[in-house]
Amino acid sequence: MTNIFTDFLSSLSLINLGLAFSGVLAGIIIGALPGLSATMAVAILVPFTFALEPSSGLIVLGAIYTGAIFGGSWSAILINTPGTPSAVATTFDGYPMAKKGDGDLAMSISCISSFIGGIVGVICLALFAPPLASISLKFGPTEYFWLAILGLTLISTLAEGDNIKSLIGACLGLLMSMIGVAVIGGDMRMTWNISFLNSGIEIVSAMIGLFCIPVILDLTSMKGKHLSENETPKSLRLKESFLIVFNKKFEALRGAFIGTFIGILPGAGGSIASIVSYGEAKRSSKNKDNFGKGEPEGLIASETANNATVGGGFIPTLCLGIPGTPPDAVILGALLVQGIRTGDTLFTQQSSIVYTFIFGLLLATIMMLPLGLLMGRYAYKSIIKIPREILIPIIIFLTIIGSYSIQNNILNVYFMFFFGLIGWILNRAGFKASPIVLGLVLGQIAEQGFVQAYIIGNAQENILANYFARPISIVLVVLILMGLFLPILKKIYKRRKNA
Amino acid sequence: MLRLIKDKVSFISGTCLIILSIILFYEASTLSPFGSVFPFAITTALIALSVILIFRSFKLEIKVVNENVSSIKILLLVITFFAWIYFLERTGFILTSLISFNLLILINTGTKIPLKKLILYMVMASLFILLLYFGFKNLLLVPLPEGLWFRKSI
Repeated sequence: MTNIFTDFLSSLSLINLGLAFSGVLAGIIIGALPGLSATMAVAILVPFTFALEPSSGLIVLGAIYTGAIFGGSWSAILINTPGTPSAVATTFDGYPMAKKGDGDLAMSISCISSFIGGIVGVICLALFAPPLASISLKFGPTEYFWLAILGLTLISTLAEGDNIKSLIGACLGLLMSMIGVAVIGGDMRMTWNISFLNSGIEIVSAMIGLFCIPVILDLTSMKGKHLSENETPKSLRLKESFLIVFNKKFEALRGAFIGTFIGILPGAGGSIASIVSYGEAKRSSKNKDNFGKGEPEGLIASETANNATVGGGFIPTLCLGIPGTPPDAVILGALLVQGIRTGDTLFTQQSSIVYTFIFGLLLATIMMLPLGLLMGRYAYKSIIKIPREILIPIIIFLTIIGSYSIQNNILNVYFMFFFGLIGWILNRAGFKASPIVLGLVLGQIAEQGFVQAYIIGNAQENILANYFARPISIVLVVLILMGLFLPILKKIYKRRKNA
Repeated sequence: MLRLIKDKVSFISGTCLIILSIILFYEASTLSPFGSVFPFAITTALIALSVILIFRSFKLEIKVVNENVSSIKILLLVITFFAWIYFLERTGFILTSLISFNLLILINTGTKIPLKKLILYMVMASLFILLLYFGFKNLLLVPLPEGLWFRKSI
């Protein structure tokens, strides 16, 4: 106990506080720029941390990660483009809120929700890391496959619009994810002898194109202001935001726990977490019909979950040496360079570094609240004041620079442009971008799980049992079926009742 | 036949998707069993969903609400956007961005605003580009294309 208290004091040193502050600040800015992901932000700064004390280095990396995941919500709310894949669900209600003139409210709610999610994730990391880490080992290929399908069916049935078209969009995304070398078997698929397709489609550049270009093209033709402004521009609407989140405290906590749990599962990440949380929020809400039209509850669900994956993702990283998310993989590399051996003995033999890091992460999350509220307010006001004639080239500029900087490759910019035009055409035909992007993001997880489960089932001479008879799989399949058929059954029941 | 279709967009989309799925299904048949199992599953699902979409298009029309577009503006924007990308590595990031950015401002403003304001916009845009260029290059260590003319050595 005394040791933990000493670690807490150590995390409060001036240098650690300064590092956490600058880490959160840098993370928010990088995360807010479409194309610049949390992974990239962490990776760029890893070399700088080698000169620092191990715990200080880890604090700055954790702070950047926390800030970047939250920063992703800004562009999702203001320009309908998720800064990071985990902010896809934030666009569903965040952007409609901004369009209605509640952008400042959306920015504040997103910050408070991210704070709650982050705190719950870190507390779970501090208190329950070793027992929770063992859960991740219970997830085999079959469970990962069903989890990815759950994410896809949820987005397809929950995102605003036509369900059949959303499911088709998810299938198109899955097909796009298959372009290039197959994850298992190594076949070259759907490349049609075009060499630059061999490495597959870069997810982030496709995501930028699919979300951003339809917005740009619509803005070009739009008359009037691009975002409405509320009538009380001088108020911070802080009280209102806190009150909304407080009234939805159980929903916020549920989102945070969903995020932490999914964060524990290696490779699942914030995109599934926010979608599952959003789905659960919509399913249990009294205001279901408002979801997708600017319902704060949807925003709370998405933002609590994606920030909770930060703490959750560190659980398998620290306890098992298995990174929960891509930024965790970079941080794991930094840990190894610093001479820290991850595993179940980490919390006993090198507890000082681990607990200083956890406290640092907690401080970074706490710092994110005032910083995010203040900066978010100005970001929203600036976007509103920028004339549309300037805003359009700025967004185009950011899409180019964002997609180029992913791999310093011009092909990614062409991909972004091409997918953007396709996305715009599909959008006008009623196919939304979010199911396509999620299909693209989850495609590899789904395929790897599907094929591996098939191989295992084949070896056990019982393929179906391997897919459907495992306890966690049964739960996931039931959730998928509920997600798909409950809305239809409810509609039929309502129609009969009215008749 | 065409008169029976209530939702033409869904009917055309469904037909195109079925053709696409059949092509991809055929392509998957040339792959190894491990590489083809997932494409088979997804293309089959896509065919099934497209058939549902086509059948539904005869029964009901689901209207898609779209913004009215200005075709000329969009065409000019798309051409400038493509040119920006095309010349990025050839002419360099700064020069291409300065020209394209300002061209896009002109396309979007037209002759609606006073010249003074237009010049102010262009100066602000140029400063923004230079700021981000040096920020990316020196702070984020992302090297942006310098262009063939400005390269120090080849």
